[in-house]
Amino acid sequence: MAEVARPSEEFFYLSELLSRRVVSKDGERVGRLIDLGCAANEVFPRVLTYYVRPGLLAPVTLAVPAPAFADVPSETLKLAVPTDGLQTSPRRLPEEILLRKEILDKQIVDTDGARVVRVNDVHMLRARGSEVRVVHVDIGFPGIVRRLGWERPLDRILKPIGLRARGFAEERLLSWRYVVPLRSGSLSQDLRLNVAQGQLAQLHPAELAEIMEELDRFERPAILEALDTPKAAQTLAELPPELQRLLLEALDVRRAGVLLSTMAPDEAADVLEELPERLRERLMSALPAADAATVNDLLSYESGSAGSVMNPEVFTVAAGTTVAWVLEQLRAGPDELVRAYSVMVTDEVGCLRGVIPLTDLVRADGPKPVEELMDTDPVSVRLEDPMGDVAELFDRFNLLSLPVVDAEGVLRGVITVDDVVSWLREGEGREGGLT
Amino acid sequence: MLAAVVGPGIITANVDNDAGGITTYSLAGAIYGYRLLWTVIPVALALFVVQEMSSRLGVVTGKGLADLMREEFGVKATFYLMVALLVTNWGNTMAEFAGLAAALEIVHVPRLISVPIGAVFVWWLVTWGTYRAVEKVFLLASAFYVSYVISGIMAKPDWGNVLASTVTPSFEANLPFVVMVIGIVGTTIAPWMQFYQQAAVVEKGIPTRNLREARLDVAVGSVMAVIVVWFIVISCGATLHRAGIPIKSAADAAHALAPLAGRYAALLFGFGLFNASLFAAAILPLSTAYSVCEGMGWERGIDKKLNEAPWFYGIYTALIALGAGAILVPGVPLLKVLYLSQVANGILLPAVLLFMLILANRRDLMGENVNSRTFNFVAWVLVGSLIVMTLFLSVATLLGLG
Repeated sequence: MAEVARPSEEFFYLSELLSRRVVSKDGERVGRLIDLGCAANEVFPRVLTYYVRPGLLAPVTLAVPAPAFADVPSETLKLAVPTDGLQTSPRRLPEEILLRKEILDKQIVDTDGARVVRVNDVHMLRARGSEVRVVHVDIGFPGIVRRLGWERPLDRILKPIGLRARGFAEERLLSWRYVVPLRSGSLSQDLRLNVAQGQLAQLHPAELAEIMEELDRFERPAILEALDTPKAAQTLAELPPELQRLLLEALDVRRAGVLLSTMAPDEAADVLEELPERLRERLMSALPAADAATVNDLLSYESGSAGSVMNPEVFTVAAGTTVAWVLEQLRAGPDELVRAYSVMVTDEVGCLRGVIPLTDLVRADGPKPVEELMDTDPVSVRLEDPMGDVAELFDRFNLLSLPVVDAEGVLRGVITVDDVVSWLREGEGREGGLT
Repeated sequence: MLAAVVGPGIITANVDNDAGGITTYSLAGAIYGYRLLWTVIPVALALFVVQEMSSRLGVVTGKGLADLMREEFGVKATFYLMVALLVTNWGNTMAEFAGLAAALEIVHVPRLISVPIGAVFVWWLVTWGTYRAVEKVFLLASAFYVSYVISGIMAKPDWGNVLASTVTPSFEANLPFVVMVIGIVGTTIAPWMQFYQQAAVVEKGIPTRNLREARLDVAVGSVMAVIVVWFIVISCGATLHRAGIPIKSAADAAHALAPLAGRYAALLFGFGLFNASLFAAAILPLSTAYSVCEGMGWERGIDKKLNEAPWFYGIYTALIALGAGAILVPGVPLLKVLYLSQVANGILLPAVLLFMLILANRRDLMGENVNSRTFNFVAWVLVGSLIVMTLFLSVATLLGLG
């Protein structure tokens, strides 16, 4: 979803940090931050040194080794190390790149030698404590607007009409892994990309998972800790099983439980299924009772059956409700309600009566009752039906979602097309897919 | 070998004698006769010093001026300077198309025909040409300035008097005279020139070992440019000033020349204006588009295709369309745009010159090719006076004295 691309609080921009006032532990003025030195040899370079200039015309630069500040980014940067620990000679580590001097505003050239754009800003991530890493370079127009200092004034003007400056142009962030800084003494060199322009991936949720894969086992939990819960849960779900295991082992059990219960039950079940028995049991005990029961149900279905893949959370309505009322629920309710692309109609005992695709719902007249609209004989599968059959149904009927019922016809869950795609992808290695 | 280096300096210095410049020089000649001829010597010096720095910055760093500004001074300064560049060059482009229209009206071609054809021609030239081809066309256009030399000779000036006036500075302490002197200098050093020259040097890929030849290119260009200025002032001084005929524009001058210096001298004068306007109408938008893309980091260059460099061609096209359009559409407040353009110029030129001086003194950027001590002294004095003059001209424009 689009909103994922917007950086959350743990992310910030280099331009937000530069020129900030630096004060000593006891609030005494030290100078202003002028540059950041990063470890060039890392995939997502860690900030090693903060460079501080004591005065506008001061001839010396202070080099402060990371972690230097109690909190980054903040209005004033307060030193966490004693002032006398600062080195006055600009010490520069051999593997260091300077973000402001060598990266910011430089031209980016792709493998074909085409000029892509300039580095308008550097996108950074703060992991636990004060570890700061370079994640992306900002090459979009919003980056220029931010650097010009127009973002806030524009927001102020646009606010009364319900708009935001950021909404006008797409944020364009380019993963640092594609950027190859040329480290030679020359100041006037361009940055090179190691991919052609057309292949550039834009930021998407799975990219955080990609970042995690690059990090070592000490850094991963730290980054997961830094993310807010929904994003951490999402990221965890995107990781390969081996990394999921490592992370869940390392995390505090209660935190792990929170993350798992934030995921959709089928995702949580997928994660838990791959774990070793003892770890799984420990985590299950950390889940809230209701979630544990749902996940347990899912885990009890035979692997490769419809029941093991479905999402048991379904938005259902009773016969007799009006289209207008259903639409109102969908608008006001959480994202999960529309995840199935359809609304299921059930009777008082929970048996499936019919299915209404969202598209039909949107087009229908408000006062109409749902039973006039619904497909009264919808395609459905049983809990124990094999996924091979399910995939075939999706193919044959061009489905987006499919209800799953038990032997009594009670609706137990729904399978969506992305579940099927994931299942197929997992099966590619396995005995040649479906036939 | 020389062909690999020569071009940018000569072209830049010559385009500098554009429609606005020719008008200023004609007025100077018509009003003050030969008395302002001495200005060509300081003008040539200023032209050489400033353009040599542009050329050297381009050769040594391999980067355009906007490029260096962005990297050394950040996005904020660059962005606002680019906005000023767009405004001032829109005004200038408009003045070029006005000059083109006026030149062709001498031979009874209405502007409704001449301006659209001229606009389409310059657009086509750059859009379809390669850098090498376009440069050849521009060099040819530079050669056509010889028409002013011939026209000047045909005006039969008193050569003794001319030479004496050239080496003897004369000055009047009144406002119109001062404004005229500043006008001559101001019209000769324009911000787009530094951007264009440096970009052209970079695009040509002149290596550092050819710095000496690049310097020669600038010197030849500067001398050529002031020779043209010299002859324009002579043409008008020998005829219009002596006969006491008042003029308002370069086209007026061409008209008025016919009875005094003969029909051919007038036609040559008019042709010079046509050539200069067309030439500048191509280069100004080109240089502007190139600089803006450089500053923002977008793909650019004559050798790039339309879809490879959409911003570059977009800005180029828009400037031509808006420049030519303003001449054709009735009701566009031309004078207001020109005022705005002059004010933007007044902000831009000091900033550009100061940035160049700072950059040309940066040893980490220029290595052993930083400004020498003597050069720096001359450059700072010149830049200082240019800044004072430009600010004066902008204020005078705002107050309606120009």
